[in-house]
Amino acid sequence: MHVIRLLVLTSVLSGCFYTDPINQRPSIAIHPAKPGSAVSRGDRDVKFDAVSSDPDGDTVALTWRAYACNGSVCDPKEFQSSADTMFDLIMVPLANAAGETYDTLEIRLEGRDALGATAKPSQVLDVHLGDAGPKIEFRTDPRNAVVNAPLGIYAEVTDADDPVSSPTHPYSVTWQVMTPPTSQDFELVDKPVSGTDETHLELGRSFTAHDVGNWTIEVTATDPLGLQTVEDLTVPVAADQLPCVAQWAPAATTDPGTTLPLTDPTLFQVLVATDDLDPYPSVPNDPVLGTTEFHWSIVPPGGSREQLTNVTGNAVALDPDSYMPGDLVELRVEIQDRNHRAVSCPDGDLTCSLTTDASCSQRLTWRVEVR
Amino acid sequence: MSRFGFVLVLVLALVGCGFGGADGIRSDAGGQSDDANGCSSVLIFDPASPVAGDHIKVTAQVFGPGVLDYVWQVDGVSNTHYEGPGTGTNHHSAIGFDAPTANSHTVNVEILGSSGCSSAQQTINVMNPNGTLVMYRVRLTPPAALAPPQETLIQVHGGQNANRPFAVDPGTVLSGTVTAGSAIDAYVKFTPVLGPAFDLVTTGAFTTHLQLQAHTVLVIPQNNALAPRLFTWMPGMGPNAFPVDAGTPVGGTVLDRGGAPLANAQVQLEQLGVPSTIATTAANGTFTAHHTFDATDPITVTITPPATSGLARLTATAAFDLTKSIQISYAASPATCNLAGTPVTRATSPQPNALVTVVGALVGTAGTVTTGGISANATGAVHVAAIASGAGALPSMLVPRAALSAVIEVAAGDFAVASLDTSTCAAQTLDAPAAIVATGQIENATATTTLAGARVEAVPIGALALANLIPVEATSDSSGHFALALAAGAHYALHFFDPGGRGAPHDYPDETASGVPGEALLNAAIAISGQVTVIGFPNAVANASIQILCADCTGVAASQPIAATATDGTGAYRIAVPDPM
Repeated sequence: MHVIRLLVLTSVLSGCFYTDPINQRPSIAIHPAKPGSAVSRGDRDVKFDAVSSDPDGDTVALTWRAYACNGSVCDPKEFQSSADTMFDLIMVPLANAAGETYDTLEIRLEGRDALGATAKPSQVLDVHLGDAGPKIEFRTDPRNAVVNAPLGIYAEVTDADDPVSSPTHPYSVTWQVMTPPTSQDFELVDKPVSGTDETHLELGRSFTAHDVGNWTIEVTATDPLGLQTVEDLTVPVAADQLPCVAQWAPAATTDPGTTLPLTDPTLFQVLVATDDLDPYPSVPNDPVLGTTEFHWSIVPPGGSREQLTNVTGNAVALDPDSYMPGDLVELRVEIQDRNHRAVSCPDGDLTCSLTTDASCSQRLTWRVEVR
Repeated sequence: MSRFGFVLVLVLALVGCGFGGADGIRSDAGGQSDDANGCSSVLIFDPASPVAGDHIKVTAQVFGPGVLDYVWQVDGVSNTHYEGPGTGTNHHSAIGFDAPTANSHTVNVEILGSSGCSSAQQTINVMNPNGTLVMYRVRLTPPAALAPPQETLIQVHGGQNANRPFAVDPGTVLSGTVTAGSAIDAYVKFTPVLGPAFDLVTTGAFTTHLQLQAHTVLVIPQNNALAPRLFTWMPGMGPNAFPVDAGTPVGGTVLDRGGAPLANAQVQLEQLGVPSTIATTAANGTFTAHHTFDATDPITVTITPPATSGLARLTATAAFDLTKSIQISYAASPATCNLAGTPVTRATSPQPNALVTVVGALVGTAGTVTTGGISANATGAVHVAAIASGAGALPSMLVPRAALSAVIEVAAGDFAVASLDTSTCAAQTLDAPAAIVATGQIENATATTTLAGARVEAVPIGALALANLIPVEATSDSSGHFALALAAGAHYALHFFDPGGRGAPHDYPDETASGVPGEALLNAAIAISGQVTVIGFPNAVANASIQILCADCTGVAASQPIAATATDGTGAYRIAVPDPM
């Protein structure tokens, strides 16, 4: 006995004897990132948080696995795995290879500390998968809505887990217009569009409001299981804007005391006219947009104003050889859009703005001195 | 190495210097990326001008520290391979791909790890090896507050659309003043060494954008007592003050064909586009004009006689010595003919108040212009106008005896052109046939579709153009039909085009009313598209005018676009031009 005590004492004093504390298992738990929120087939970015701890303070390595299940049968292989603290499912699967829709999501989490001890039991969270409702996305023609001008409005309906164009599982989509308080005068007519397939339903309407205001287009989509989604699109409808001469060449006359010398044959042209519906140059292949109308006139030397009724384009040429040196010629262009608002300023005004914005002129004048 | 034996760096090294290279507009912007902290990257294409069937290698050259890797994306190509040297990052610094068809590909590379460079992007156009090439001028006019008008030449290959982004040089702002002691009213025209001229009318002070290159600045004062003057302006050097004065006087005399002094003739001189003041002869035929010309370049002298003289307008060009008096003499021949009493009719009916303009060019020498020992023969152009009486007969109207033409305007816009031979001054009648309504149908290039909303412009040429250049225009109806009321006897240049871009313009350079095609086919079109930006501005340029012009025409045709469009709210444009095929 004394010998044993001596050995123990010797070992302790020499440092050769120690007691290793027992490693303990970590503990883990799964927390949905949004507790209580329903998860549907086809949902994206469904997130789960892992809560882990280790009594020994070790780092806990996590392993997530997600399985899709139909009834009590889960797919043998996970559809996504991760080792992060947060498990972010890219997309919840819809159906298995046999076409059977999944109804449950099984999330499994395992934890292992630095010494290899695993958390017991591993965590399993079963999440019921609901029917994914329709999704509606709007787009419109790329321009502002203007009174009396049709605007294409398009709704794309998608459904993660139901075909949107199946004859056996009809999909219902209805359109409704909420009018502003001051008007109920509008047209909403079918506008055929392409692009519909099993997963995308493309619908179009041509919407024409006959008054200004905020109009609301409401689309209701109902999937074959009766799940309904309603989306609104507010369409601010504005009054037609007047066209503005935006760019021209050569320099126009803005001061009555100045003239432009005409030394060579010169093309007087409007390069750009801005307008909400009738710009110049026109926009090709747009069934609604038109183009600016040009009305030219000329005051020959010593004469009075003559309308150039044969000229409807954006340019007129003058040749000094048609005149005498020193002759004064006044060339004028006035522009209108489809609403033909008269350019009603006095004839002596070199420019004319029918709006409060003086920089938006509907008239240009070139006072030319032949050199 | 490419078949051409060279590799072209498709981006301009001068971008950062604000100098746009030869064309003034930086096309194909984006190949070089210059980040704020000094890093820059360049994409190098081999071959530089690929054709369908080529294998294209793209190398990213990054001038900056810390590059970790490259992530490539090629628009319209699914299969690319790393072709850089060595392994790892270096191996990823270049990619290769096959281009089996003529197409445009936008190559984008993300540069990972660099503290400065983030990405570079470049569009490469793969050409049709059998396509014809054609050059067009592109005139780009951004809003004046952003940048001055600019031009570049582009090469278009037959049979394929082209992507042509443009980065416009904003240049610099000139705040200038035209003075003659104090600020004065003036016309100012700026002409860069490379690029289009543009102008402004000022009451003295003005502000404008100019490209960063030398310009000539022509100042024409509104006051005819002050001589127009040409300045040279250099970026960073100016000037910004443009003083004008009376200039240098030059006197002379104008004598009519009998050697008598000619009063009320107008004399103007011009040198290299710079005019003198306009001088009017006194009763003794003398005049004094003021100029700012140099002593070396040719000078053009133009004499416009009074309308009642029956004389032609004279023009002569030579290195006249303006230190000497200018002697101008009309040739004794041709004599004049008075058209007084000549009936103006339409289908035998007199045409009261018809405006008759007699035009034409005289054969041979119409006069001489002499300064000291330098003498030049002058050409003669006839332009005499008169209004018929209420009975439809011409008043006293002297014209030279020659083979001429009469342009008769029966009513506003209602023209006819008649031959008028006054060589023998025999009595004759000026008949003005009614305008001829020419009709036709505008169709696409393959004649398979009639085009509603297409347009036709008939621009006068020949005798009618000597009287006026006002065009006749029409738009096709829903079935593609058009109708043009054209002056009988007149010639026109016809320009068929479609604002909707369903075909490219088709021009007929010289047609009469009877020659207007009943079936006008537009040319096959290719599209040029792209994005317009101004260097130094993050936003795209909206409402910039883009005109496609012929590469080497002159006069009005030089500013008459083949096709025109404007950028939309995103700075994008698309324009149809003739396919050179």
